[in-house]
Amino acid sequence: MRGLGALLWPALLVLCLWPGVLPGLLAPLAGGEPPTLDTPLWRLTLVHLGLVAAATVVVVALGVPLALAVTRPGRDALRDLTGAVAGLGQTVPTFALLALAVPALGFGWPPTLLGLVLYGLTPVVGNGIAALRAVDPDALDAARGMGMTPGQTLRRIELPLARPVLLAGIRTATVYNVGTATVGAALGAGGLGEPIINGLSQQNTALVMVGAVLAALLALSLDALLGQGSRQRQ
Amino acid sequence: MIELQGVEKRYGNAPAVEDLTLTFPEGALCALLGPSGCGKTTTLRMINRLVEPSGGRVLLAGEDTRALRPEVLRRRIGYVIQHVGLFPHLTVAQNVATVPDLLGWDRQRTAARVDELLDLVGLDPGTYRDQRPAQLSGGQAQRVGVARALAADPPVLLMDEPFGALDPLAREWLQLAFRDIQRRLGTTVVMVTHDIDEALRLGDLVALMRGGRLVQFGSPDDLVLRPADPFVRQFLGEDAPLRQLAGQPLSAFVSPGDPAGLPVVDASLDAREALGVLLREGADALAVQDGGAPLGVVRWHDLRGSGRRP
Repeated sequence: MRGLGALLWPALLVLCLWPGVLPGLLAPLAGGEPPTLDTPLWRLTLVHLGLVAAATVVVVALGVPLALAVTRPGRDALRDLTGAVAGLGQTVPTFALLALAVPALGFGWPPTLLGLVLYGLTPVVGNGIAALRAVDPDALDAARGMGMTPGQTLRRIELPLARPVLLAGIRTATVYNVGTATVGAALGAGGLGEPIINGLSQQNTALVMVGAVLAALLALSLDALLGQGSRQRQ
Repeated sequence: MIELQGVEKRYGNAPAVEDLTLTFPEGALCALLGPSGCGKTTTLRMINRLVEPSGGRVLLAGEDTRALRPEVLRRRIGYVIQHVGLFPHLTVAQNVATVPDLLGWDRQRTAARVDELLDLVGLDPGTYRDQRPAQLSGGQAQRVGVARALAADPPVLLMDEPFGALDPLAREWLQLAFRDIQRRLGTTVVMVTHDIDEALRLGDLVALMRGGRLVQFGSPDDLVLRPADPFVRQFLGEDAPLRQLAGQPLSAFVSPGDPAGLPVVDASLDAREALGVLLREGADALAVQDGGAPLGVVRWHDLRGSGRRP
């Protein structure tokens, strides 16, 4: 039953991507005329998904080792500092960050990815640190006392115990970034932000809704699928 | 078996353990006793190098412990702590198999060893093998902790307040069960405790520490009857002889004699309970029976001193 529930949002997403379905549904918002786009919806969605996936890969590759590094014994000050800095990432307004990134990185994917990575690091590093700190110190003492090396303690004890909370952080980062990535269209990165921006400039609510509905469905689908994945692994 | 030679530990300039020299003999259960902050846990942790000594030497079976990598050393030494520290994501069997896995034993040998150890600590392997630590009571968890520490058959076992977190009934049961296991295996045990009863009852030898120094090291009799200084006497308390009697079965004090007219007690009592009966009955001797069969007589003065340890 649970598995079926997780497929509800992806199914709705596929339905809305079927040619003509979503524009047809939203036609009443534009005086009965279905909104038209230059690029097919499935293509915009794939580009969007690609942006988010690339950001998640970078976030995991940076965030997990960072959380591991700063939670080793004797690095309490560094750990607190890292947690604070990672938290700061999300307090900077998206547009300000992108505006600052464009002069350095130009338009397109690079500045958008930079923004998504910085936003995604907050939940991944935050959850990673919290999860690793929550590992029972007695279990760690026992592991050490029985002759596990630091690497063995990490692989056999710390990572398995931290995994659920760590995966939840990765899931949160991914889902947030589906929304954040729509801003990337303003920088020419493409994706589901395109119909939103075009709709805004043409004062076409239906076009805005095409992008918004698909982004929301994509976020809900990823949330459901990632949630399913982490449940099965436990 | 374990020799400490002039061992010391300093944190900055503050000494935690100073000039500690003592030998824990092979096969003996030695208690490290003392008030909190006396350095007993630090001493224990210097044996398996969870704490590195600042000076002196620790010898294990004549070999300097610094000659080995700490991990290799620790796999040869069992380790049990107060809050057990079972790995919550692993089954009971996987927990017990920790050190055999680290040593690379094959699957069959490990599985057989796990069942053997669960049996040894009184847990039915069929029932408990696949349970998770969260499903166990405190006493069961600590039994798994002991089984895990003994899994690779270490000659030496270090225990830090192993029974401290248990309720009195479970504690007493596990103390006696553990004592029995230890004798059977001949394991050399060093056990940290602040519980005087536990030290006097379980220890073959007791090392009393204070302020990072050894005050007295000897048998429970030595400490109770021949305290090295006033602190020993004060720390153990004036009722120390009674605490000591509590750990000993009455049968160890029985001698032949005429039981006629004496109050009758069963041999299942411990020596302190028998003393209580003597006081209550105003008698000088008791007739001891074992399930109705006369065993002999215990006299008032037999209860002074050590008795014959079982």
